[in-house]
Amino acid sequence: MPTLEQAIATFGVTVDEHLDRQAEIPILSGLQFQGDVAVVPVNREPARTPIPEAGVPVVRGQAEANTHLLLATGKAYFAAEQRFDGLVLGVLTVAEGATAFLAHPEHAYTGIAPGTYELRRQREQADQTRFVAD
Amino acid sequence: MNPPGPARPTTGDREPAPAHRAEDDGEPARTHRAQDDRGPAHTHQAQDDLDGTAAGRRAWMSAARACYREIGVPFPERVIWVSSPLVGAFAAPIAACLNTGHRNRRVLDSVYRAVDETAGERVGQAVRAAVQAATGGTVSDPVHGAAATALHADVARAMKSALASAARLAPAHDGSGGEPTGSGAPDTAARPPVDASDAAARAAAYAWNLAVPAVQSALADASVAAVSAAVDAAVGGTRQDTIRGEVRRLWQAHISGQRSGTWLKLVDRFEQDAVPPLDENRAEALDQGPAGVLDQGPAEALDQGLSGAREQDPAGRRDEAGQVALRGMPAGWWWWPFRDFAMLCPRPTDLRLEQVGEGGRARHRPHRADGPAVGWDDGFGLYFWDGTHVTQAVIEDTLTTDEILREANAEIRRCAIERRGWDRFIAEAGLDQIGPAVPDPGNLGQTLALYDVPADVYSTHVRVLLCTNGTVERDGTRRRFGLTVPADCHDPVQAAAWTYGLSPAQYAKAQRRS
Repeated sequence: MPTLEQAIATFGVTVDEHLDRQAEIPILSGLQFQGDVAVVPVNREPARTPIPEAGVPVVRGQAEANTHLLLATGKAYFAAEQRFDGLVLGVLTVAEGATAFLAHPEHAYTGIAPGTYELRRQREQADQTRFVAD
Repeated sequence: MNPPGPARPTTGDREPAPAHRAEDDGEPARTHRAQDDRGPAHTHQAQDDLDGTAAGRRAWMSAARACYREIGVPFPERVIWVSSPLVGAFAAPIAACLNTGHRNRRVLDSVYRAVDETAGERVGQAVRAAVQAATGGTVSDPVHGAAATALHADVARAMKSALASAARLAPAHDGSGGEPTGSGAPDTAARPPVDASDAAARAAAYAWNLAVPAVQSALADASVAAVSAAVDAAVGGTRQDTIRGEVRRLWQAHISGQRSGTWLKLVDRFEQDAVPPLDENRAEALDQGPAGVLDQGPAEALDQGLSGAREQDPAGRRDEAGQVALRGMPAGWWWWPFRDFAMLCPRPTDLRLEQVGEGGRARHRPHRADGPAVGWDDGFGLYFWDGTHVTQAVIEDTLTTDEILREANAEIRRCAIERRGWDRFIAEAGLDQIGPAVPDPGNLGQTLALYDVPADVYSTHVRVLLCTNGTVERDGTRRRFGLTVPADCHDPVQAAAWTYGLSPAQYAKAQRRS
């Protein structure tokens, strides 16, 4: 498990200063949440579009400060959902031997083990359903 | 109940330092001799010229001039740019009264005091300065009688023919057509995006991508509502007299006249030769985009259009988007045409936007949690929460729980609750808890709790899930926040699962929340 400090050094994407740089980032294959984004293990056709070195901003906040940025070491793929209903952002596939990360300034890094996942956006019930921005 | 209160200046009544005010007082009313609007830029507008404001104002005045020509009335010598729509709403009718020979100083003073008390002294001083400028500082001889006649109705009737005349004189550059259309809501959407062939045109296209027409329309509606409330607060009481009556009468006449799409088309006609120039840095940044700005969503355009400094300063970046959106709006906001003077007011000088949605679906709406989202130089402002126009009390969070619950408008009620924060509101309103609080799976040591929101608080019956963030804040605390969920959620885990479209069994297996 890399530490937060190592992940920042690898990707050059920093997070809020008060977050512990020595904390280890668990690399998990189960359900996890990063603020308003969920990483949900699914049985789906794997994604085939490689994640570029600069990453994929899967949710872009009000400003750069609130972006959930998808990054990877090794072979990982992300296909944004075509039929956009807002809840499912896209499909993430992490190949054997690779690791994907979601980076967010306030929520630090979330480590994702090999497998195929849906990235989902949190929603809220208002007069009509709307999506949560953190 | 909770009427949209008078929009008070945010700084004026908090910083009563006289020296400070004296400095402000010099600014609000700018008198131009009539011929100036065609002349070179004035020195005091040097800053405005950088963003095209002076050129925009000249277009605005040219359009006004065209209307006067249509109705056969000489364009007045006294042209006054007031500092905000609120100042114009008071100063125009007061000046008209004085110019028709109103002599009762006590009535005038009591009106000024009413403005000071309800709108703040800074607006009050700006009103006095504008009246002074429109009356030439002396009470004119009543022999002028009809000289101060308001021309709203005549001008409104003449707009179509003024537009037709302008179209004959100078054919449209952009092919948007010279056909005048009927009055109605501002028809800004009729203007097509321009060809992004040079930096200036790209800037206009960029502003277009920020959804300027929608924002402008929201701002126009909010301006009417806020000024209506302020006029009502100042002169709507039981005490009535000539000036108070004239302020109210003119305000009514004014509202109906300002909603003309024809007017905006006319201004547009004069503005086509004066697209606001960009500063060089921004123009270069726009030029370096891999594709035309027109092909992109606002988020991408924003990324390319704004330079790196704002990445360290999210708030600054948002302001920048607001400034770009403002430049896409007409330089003038409202105007008051009279025989012997015309009063004009500029667009807002400050606009805070927030982005909603991603990529190509991103759009912008006014929002600010710590002050007015829209501001004019004299402190007059409009308050917005997530695009909804609200009162100052909502944003400053000064309402009582009862006042929030009794607010008639469901949308404003929702904004007030969100501004306060669900954790505080749940406690203060004593909402019923549904089942016990339970550990939040994957979020070690934190709990989830569900509360019922009475059916008449939101327009649909909802419950609210009180959650705790997976990461700590700078001060070591964890942020607690509420999420509204469907009313048929009957336990906290089911509610939390619904927010991500998961089953409760799936959610219960969560491994980590950060």
